[in-house]
Amino acid sequence: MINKESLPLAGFRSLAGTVLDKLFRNGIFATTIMAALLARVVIGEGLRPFAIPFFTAVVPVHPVLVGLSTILGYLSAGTGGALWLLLPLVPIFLIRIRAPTLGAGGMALLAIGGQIAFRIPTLAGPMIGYDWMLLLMELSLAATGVLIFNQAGMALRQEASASAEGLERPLALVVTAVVALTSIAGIEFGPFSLLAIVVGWLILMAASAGGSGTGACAGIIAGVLAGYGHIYPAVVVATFGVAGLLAGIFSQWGRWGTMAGFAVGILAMLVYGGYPAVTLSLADFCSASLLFLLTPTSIRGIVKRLLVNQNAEWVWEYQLRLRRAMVLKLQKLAHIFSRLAISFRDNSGVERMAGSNLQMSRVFDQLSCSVCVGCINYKRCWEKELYSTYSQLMDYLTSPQETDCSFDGLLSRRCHNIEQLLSQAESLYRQYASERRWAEKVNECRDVVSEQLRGVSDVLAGLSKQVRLDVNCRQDLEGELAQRLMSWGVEVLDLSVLGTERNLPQVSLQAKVPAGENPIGAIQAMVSDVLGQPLQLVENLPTGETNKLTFAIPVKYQLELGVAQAAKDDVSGDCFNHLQTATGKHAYLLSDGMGKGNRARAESDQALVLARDMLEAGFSAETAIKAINSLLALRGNESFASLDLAVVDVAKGQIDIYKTGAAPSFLKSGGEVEEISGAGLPIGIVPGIEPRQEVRCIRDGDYLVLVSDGIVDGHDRNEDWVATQLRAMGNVGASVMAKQLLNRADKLGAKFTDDATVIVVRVREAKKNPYWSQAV
Amino acid sequence: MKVAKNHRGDILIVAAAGELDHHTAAVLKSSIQEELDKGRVRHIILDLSALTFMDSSGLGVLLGRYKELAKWQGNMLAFGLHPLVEKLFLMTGLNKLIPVYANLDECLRAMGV
Repeated sequence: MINKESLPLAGFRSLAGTVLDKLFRNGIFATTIMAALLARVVIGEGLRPFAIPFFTAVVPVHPVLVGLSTILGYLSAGTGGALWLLLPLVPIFLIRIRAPTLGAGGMALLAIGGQIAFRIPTLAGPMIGYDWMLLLMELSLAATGVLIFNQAGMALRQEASASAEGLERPLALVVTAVVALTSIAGIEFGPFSLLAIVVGWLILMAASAGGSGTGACAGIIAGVLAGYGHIYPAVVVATFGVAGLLAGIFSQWGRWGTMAGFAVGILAMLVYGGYPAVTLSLADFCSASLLFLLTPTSIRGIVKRLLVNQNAEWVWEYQLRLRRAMVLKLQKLAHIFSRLAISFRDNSGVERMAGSNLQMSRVFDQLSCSVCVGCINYKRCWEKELYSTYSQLMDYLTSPQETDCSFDGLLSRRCHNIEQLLSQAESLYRQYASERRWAEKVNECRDVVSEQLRGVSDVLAGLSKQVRLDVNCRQDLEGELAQRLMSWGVEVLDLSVLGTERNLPQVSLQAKVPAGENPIGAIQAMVSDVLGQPLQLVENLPTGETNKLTFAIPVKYQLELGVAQAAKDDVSGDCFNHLQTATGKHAYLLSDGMGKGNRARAESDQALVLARDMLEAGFSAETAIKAINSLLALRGNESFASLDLAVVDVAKGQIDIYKTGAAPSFLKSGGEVEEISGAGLPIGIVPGIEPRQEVRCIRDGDYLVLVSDGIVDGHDRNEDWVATQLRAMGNVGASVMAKQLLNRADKLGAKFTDDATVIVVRVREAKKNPYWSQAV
Repeated sequence: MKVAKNHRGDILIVAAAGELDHHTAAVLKSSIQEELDKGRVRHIILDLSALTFMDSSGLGVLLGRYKELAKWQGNMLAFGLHPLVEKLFLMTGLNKLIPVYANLDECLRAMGV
C-alpha cells in the first residue's frame, strides 16, 4: 500500500512495480504457466493434444518463455520423446514469427502438421484401427484447441478487437485454464485434492468476477473435466454448473455471498441428484473457499479484467473514435467561423473603400445631370477638365469657409449657373454624408460581428486543439493509467486525462474503489506516477457504488479576497466581480462607469457582466475585452467604462493584468510596492482598442491591489500616496487591508469626489496537505 | 465652465476654462457639436490651460468628439494641460488619440499650418 510513510521507498517500489506490471500487463506470466500446464496434460491413452496447439497460438508474442515452459512442462510429466516435441516446435516458431497474424485455418493446419510431426515415431510403428482413431481424436483436439488457445492468448494479452465484445474470449480463457488444470489431477495432500481445490477456486473466482453467466460456464467446463471417468458425469457437470450459477447470482453480496451461493448450489444438487453429486469433499470445498477469501484484491482485479473487461476495451476504442470525430467536427466548425469572420471583415473593408469613391462619383454624376445638362460648357467642365471641376467642388464642399464668399476658382468664372450648382452640390453632399455615416455604422456592426465570429472560432479551435492533443498525446497515458489501476483491482468505468497541452494535467476517474487501507491515496500515487507530476485529489464525489475522482496539479497558492467600497452618492458607479475562468484561473474584475450614480453603475455593470460571461465561456481575456469594446462602441453614445482585469494562475504563480482606462494597480511584495499603469483606453467608445497586458510573477505574501480612480484622485491623494500607505501596512488580511486603505483615503478628504473601490487579493502559499495523509 | 471658440481655416480652437465634470460636460459638448454640425470643421485644437479639473464625463465628451472627427480623417490636439488633467490623459491612454503639445503654435505646426 502506498502511503505517506512509504514514500522513501517509492523509487524501489516504482521499479519493482514496473517489472511486475510489465510481467503481468501482457500476460507473460500467465501465458508461461499455462504453456507448462498444458504441456503436462495427458488424456486417456497417452494423448497429448494441447502443448503444440498452445505453442502455435501464442508463440509470436512470447517465443522464448513459452517454448521453454512447454518443454519443461512436457518433461515434468515424466514421459520421453522430448526431442520429437522439439521437431515441430522449431518450424512452427519460424512460420509464426513470419506470419504473426495467421488466420484460424492456417493455425489449425499448422497445429495439425505439428501434431503429426510429433507423432512420427508412432506412425513409423505398426498402427491398428484404434491407434488411428486416437490419432484422429488428437488431431481434432489440436485443431480445436489452437483456435480456443488463440482467443485465450488474446484475452491474456488484453488485445482489443471490435469483434470480441461477447463471452467468446472469457470462455476460451476459462476453458484453457480448466484444461490446463487437469494436468494436476491426481495430486493429493492427505484429504485435499489439488485439482478439486483449484477447480473450486476457479469457479468462485469466475462467478465473483463475471457474474452468473461466467460462473455457470466455468462450472460446466470444470464439471466436464472433473466428470471424466466418473460414473455419473452428467450429475457432476450439473452440480458444478448450478454451483457456479448460484455463486454468480450471489456474488453481488461480495465474497461471502459468492461462497454461500456455491455451497447452496452443491447442497441443492446433493438433495436433487443424490450421492453422485458429491463431487467436492468438505475439505476441498473449505480449502477452495479459504483460498478464495485470501485471494488478494489485485489478483481478483486481474481475473476480472481478463474475464469481463473486453467490453470496456471495446467501449474505450469507441470513445477514442468518437473523440477523433469530435476533433474533426470542431476543426471544421472553427474553420467555418474563421472564414465567416474574415468574410465579414473583408467585405466591410472593401465596401468601405469602394463605397466612398462610388458615392462621391455618384454625387458628381447627379450634379452634372441635374444642373449642367444643356450648358454650353458641359463638355469642357465634365469631360475635358473633369479633374479640375472635381477638385474645385471638393475643396469647396470640404472647406470650412462660407460658400457665399469663398468659391473663387476657375469654375466660378465660366459657370453661368454657379449659385444653383453650389446649392445642389451642397444638398447632394449632405445626403452623401448622411449615407456615409450610416454606412460607417453598418461597417462597425460588421466589425463587431466579425470579432464575435473570430472569438467563437478561437474558442472552437482551442477546444479542438485540446481534444486533439488529448487524443494524440494522452492516449498512452490513459491506456497506461487504466492498465495500472485495473491490475491493482480498481474497476475503471471512465477515465480521461485533460490539460496535457497546457502542462497542467487533470485526471477524471470514475471507478469502483476497492476496499483496503487508504485506496484513494494509492490511486493518487499511481496517477502521479503515470503522469509524471505530483497530482492531488481535488474532488471525490461518491455516486452509488462508484466514486468520481478528480486529480489535478496542486495549486501553489491560494487567494484571499478583500473588498471595500464607498459611493460618492447613493449608488456607486464601480462594479467588481470574481470568477474562475474556463481554464481554471481566477479572474478579478473592477469596472468604473463614466460619470456617477445609476448611469455609471449601469455602464460598468454592463461591461463587467459581458466580460464575466465571455471569460466563463472560455474566451481569452484579450478577445473578451476587444469584443466588449466593439459591442459597447456600437451604441454610439459617449458612455464608456474602464475595466481592470487581473487573471491569476495559482498553479504557475503568475498574474496577467489588463488595463483599459483604469486607475493604476499595485503589487505589494514584502516592503516593496510596484505601481502598474496600463495607459489603455477605456472600453465602449473608440473601436479597435488594444488592451495592454502586464505580466508579473507572484509569490507567497504578495498583495494585488486594484483601485478605482476615486482612491487615487482626490484631495492630497495620488498614486504615490496609495503606494506609501500600502508600504506601511503589514501582513494583514485582504479585507483588513482594503478597509484600511479606503478609510485612510476617506479621512484625508472631507468626502470622496468620486466613487471609490478597493480590491485586495492576498497571495498565500497553499497548504501542503496531501490527500493520502487523510483518513478516507 | 467657460468655453471660447475660434476658427483658423478648417481648424476649430476651443478654450475650456474651469472644471469639466458631469455637471459641465454637456456645455462643452453642445458647444463643440454645434460647430461640427455645420460641417466646416475638420480638426480641433483644445486649449486646456485654464481647465483645472476633468473627470470621466469630460473624458467622454472629448472621446465623443474625437470619434466625430475621426470619421472625416480629422485630428484633435490639445495643449496647456493642468497636471491633474494630464494625469487623466496618461492614465486612460487618451494622449495616444489626442496628442498633447506645449502651446498653440506647436499644435498648428503639427497640423502644417
